[in-house]
Amino acid sequence: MQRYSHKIAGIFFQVFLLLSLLLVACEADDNLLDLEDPSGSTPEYGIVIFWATHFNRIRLDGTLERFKITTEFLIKRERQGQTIRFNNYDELFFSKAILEQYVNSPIVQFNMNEIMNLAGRDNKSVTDKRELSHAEPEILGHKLNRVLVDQITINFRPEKRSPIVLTAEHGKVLTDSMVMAFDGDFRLKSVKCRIMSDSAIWSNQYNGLLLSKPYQLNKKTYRTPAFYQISDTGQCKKVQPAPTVEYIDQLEIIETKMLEALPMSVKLIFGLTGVNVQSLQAK
Amino acid sequence: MNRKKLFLFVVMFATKSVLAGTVTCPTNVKINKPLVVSTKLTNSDCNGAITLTHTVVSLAGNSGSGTLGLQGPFVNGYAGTIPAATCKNIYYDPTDPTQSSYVYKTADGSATLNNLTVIGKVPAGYKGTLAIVTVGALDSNNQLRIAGTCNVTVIK
Repeated sequence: MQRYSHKIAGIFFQVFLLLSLLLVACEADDNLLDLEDPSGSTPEYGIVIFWATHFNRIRLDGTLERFKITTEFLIKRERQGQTIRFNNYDELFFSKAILEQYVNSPIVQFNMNEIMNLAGRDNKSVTDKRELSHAEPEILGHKLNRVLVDQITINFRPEKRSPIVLTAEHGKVLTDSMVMAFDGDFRLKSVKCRIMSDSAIWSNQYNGLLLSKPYQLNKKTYRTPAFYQISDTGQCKKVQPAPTVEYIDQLEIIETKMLEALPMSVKLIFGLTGVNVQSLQAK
Repeated sequence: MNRKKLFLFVVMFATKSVLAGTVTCPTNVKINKPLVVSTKLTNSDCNGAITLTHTVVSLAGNSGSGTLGLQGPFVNGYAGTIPAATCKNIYYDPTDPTQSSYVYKTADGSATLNNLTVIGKVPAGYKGTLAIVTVGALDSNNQLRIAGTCNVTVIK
């Protein structure tokens, strides 16, 4: 009897092992999922075009890893406003994203093209011109209008040098201006420089960071706005005079102005009376 | 109100650069058909015309998911100028033009845009609902100016 119980226990163990391996294999298969959301609309994430979990994408140049993005969760959806949904514009939302980027220039540059490619950046005009009889309207800028990231880490990797690591609780990128705003516990860490602030704005045009709020540079606090470029050796170089860098979200402005222009009677009909225009402007 | 205060008040009112306007929608529009509106843009600035480069239009309505959905904003090239308002200098002492004066606006500058297509095909999902048209314009500084809104009933 005891001999049989050993055999049964052995079979159970083998089945358990097989199931575990199967589960691990299923989890690995979640990579590079590109699934149609069956409902198309979720209360939490809005109208979803596609989503993926445990997504990663790597671009190799020979054996050199030029770019890598790893994220726990990725959604492409219609652009969300404060109160409205922009049906003709899209946005990407990443949760816990780590970007690894190879740096081959003396000043660190950020290449957004890899992310834009995820959602077809060149799809500029959304209106089917064959269906139009009166005009050929175009949308304002790119169809992929914005990229949002919760818990972002960017590892800039200069060749044969130490990485430069940028982290923040939230990041958002406007694809038309290629300006990236970071909010919440912004940190930049290299071998020669450490920056901490509540927020920062990265400009692709000027390849650097605008720190408009009080910030710490190597543990010393500064209260006047400044602009820094980061060298591939990890030095933070102050640029003077600081270039004008602004995060201007045209669709947010349009939404705010449209709500301001609506008569109260229309706001009542559409249930928009609770909208605080002042708070929209503040954001 | 003394003269100085009156002078300041009137000048501030008269020189505020504002593009305003009225937008006229058809009473109703059929789904899958173009929606065309007209708008009258007005400039209350006595000192300068407003140069416009694009119109910006949108249609807000039922998105089918409990929130307001927006078709657009769509932009169309538009080369137009809204002339400055017609204004007069009124002198406190007409016999002595060297004395101070105030500005009196007699009419806003205006331009009318007819046959402005908001969308080529009104979405079928809007059927039986009220939709909001918003018309605005981008000026030569790429600043958005909203002219106004109007409502249209979407029918089958």
